[in-house]
Amino acid sequence: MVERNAKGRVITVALAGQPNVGKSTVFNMLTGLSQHVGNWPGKTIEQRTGIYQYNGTTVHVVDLPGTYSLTANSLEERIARDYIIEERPDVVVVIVDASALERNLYLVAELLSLPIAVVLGLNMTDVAEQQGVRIDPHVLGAALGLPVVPMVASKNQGVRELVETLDRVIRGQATFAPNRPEIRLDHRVVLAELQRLVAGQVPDPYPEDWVALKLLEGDEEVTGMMRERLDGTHWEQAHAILKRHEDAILAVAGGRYEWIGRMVRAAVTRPRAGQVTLTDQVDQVATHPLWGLLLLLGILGLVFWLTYAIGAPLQELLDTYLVQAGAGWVRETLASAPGWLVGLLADGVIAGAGTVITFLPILVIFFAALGLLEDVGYMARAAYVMDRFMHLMGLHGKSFLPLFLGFGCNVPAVMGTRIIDSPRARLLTILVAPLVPCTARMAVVAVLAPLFFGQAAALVSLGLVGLSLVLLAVVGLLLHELVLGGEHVAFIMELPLYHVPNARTVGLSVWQRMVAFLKKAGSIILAVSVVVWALSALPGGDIETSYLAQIGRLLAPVGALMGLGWQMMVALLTSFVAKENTIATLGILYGAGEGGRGLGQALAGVLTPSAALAFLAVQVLFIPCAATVAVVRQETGSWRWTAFSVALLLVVSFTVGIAIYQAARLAGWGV
Amino acid sequence: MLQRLLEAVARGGTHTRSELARELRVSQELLQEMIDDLARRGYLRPMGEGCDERCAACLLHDTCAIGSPGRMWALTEKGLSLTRGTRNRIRSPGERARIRGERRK
Ligand SMILES: Nc1nc2c(ncn2[C@@H]2O[C@H](COP(=O)(O)OP(=O)(O)OP(=O)(O)O)[C@@H](O)[C@H]2O)c(=O)[nH]1
Ligand SMILES: [Mg+2]
Repeated sequence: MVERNAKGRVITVALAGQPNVGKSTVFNMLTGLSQHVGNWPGKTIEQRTGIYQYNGTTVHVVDLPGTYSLTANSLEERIARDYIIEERPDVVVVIVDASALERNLYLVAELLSLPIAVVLGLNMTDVAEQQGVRIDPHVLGAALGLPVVPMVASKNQGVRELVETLDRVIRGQATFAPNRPEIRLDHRVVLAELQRLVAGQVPDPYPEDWVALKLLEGDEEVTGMMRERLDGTHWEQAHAILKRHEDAILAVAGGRYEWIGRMVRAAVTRPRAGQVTLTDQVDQVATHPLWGLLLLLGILGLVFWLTYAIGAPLQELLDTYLVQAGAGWVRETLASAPGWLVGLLADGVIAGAGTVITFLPILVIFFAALGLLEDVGYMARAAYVMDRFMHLMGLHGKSFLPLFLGFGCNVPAVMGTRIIDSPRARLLTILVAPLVPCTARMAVVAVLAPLFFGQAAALVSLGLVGLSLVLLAVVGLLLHELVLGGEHVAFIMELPLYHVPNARTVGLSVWQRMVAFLKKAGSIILAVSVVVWALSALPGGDIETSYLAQIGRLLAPVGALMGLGWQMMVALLTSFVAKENTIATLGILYGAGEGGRGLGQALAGVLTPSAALAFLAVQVLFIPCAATVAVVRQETGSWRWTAFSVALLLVVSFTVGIAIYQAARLAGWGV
Repeated sequence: MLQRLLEAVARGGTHTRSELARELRVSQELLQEMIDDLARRGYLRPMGEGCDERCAACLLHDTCAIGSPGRMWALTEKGLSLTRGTRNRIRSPGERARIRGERRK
């Protein structure tokens, strides 16, 4: 305490603060060369003490170890709090990092529950300024009820003001009326009860109120101490209270955060940097439950529209100059070769795999748009908005993440269900995962929709995505009600800042997807094209009596309900091997015909709009590709469930297809 | 404040930091402090970046369509039990039925 010796008063000041906030820098500035370096009694942690004189006062300064709080979590924290409680310095100067005020104020909140004078050294104001954080020291001081000294200790700024402030404090000339954090009302009663129980029992230097608070916080050291000090009945009562309020720490710490929030709201302004402001503003809309969903749909629609507006004419060009011209050239050059060879090359390879390749421009644009959205940071928002939507539908939880992966590819979606702990929930998520329209299916839609629907293609595509999502939500809702009900999942997610897309990143993602696509075109799709062509040419060379037709006619009765001929059913069937095969098969059956008409015109000749719509819907909802079915088998470990999954999707897709076609017919549309 | 944060999270589904900060009227920095605090005390569980840790084993992890959301935290059983019954948490009809069933037992 303040003493007087011959020369004048002698006081002790302790420097407290979180690690790396500049305590030692302040210490050095205050004490200069008159320092003593030793160890804390019995500890290996360095203790530095020093002296300065000011205005007739000798000030002993102690540099305390850096601590985040005053719980006895670590040696440093114990040293700091024991020193403050046992040695009772006249003033504690708490140094805080102004650029991380929220974090630093926690320690201040804890210090204020001790009966000591506190001065706040608001250090690193240069860093805060650099980051655009503005703190008004006067307002902060008024809010805290403490003297606040802004400083840049490393540049010796504010150190003199600190010394003056300390002088005023010890002379009782500075206001010290701290505004202390409070705990929630219900726990205040509990605290009062504890205070009553420990009253008169607390060993000497410890303040009673502080001990009661630390008991409530569950502080081990204080609890141990009081267990020894209190007599049996008092301890049992206290123990019973603590047992009942095990989570009281949340009320205590929560009160401190509440207090920090008030201080920060009063004194801190963060004119946010451009990127952060922009992100916040855009997210007001982009993550809004309603606007966010509409925006998502709008963006998807725009992506489709762009894809079609630019890609479709390019596809037609390629079709004319690559497929039609190529097939014609093969027929001319190989006029003398055996007929089957010409057929294989012109009608099988070129019309099949070749047609698929003409869709490269459409896919490049589609993938580029997706890559762009991903790189800008929008995809995480899309995930978030979809999650909200599903949550509103009653479906939420861990099944969401794997389902979202399904938009890329159903294979990782099925594998991603591994994060679901409950086996039943996992199984059902696997079963619905193929309802998510993957990029390959969307690519097929992207190709076929403009052939069928021209100007309205973007709208139709969007509708198909919407349809899948609604179905997914309906099935998901059933799933949630029947199986997932008990599982409660909640997440906090940090959304990345939006940023200017990087051409290289986007280019790379397009490139990777293109390579994967071309590899498929050169292998699976080529092979299937050859097989389909062979089946269409054997045994007699006439398609109508071919093996392919025979297979297709087996499915024709179902097809008839949707206005689809056997050719379309075969095209669907080949999509099982890989989704893109639908296009290849249609190319073989309808494209590169002798007449040299494009695939689009040929299809328009055989399909009514309502049948085309039904076809696209079935295509989107049909059994997933073989790769997905294989992982379904792998992940469920059961052929029965795999078969069930396939059957489920067959039923769902055909039901929807038939419903669309029949409804359209009843309405008299597109027949 | 911490209790209110937990209750907001426990309503279920995914929450963003900015949404929660706005709801609790605190700065995003303070919200992050509270999240870290709750995670230290075991009421929230930090998950790996992007998808769950187990996702990392996935072959297609690199071309994952979800992009890269930042860090995620999941509410733990401990966090959930603290909020249970304190507020009218949104429940699905199935969940409510299950709870009624449990009460009857
Ligand atoms: N920009 C800036 N840097 C500072 C300021 N004050 C201190 N520093 C720097 O921050 C770093 C840490 O300072 P220290 O004084 O060692 O911090 P400390 O609080 O003693 O750290 P611990 O003892 O580890 O808890 C040093 O590199 C200082 O030069 C300041 O006001 N502005
Ligand atoms: Mg130091």
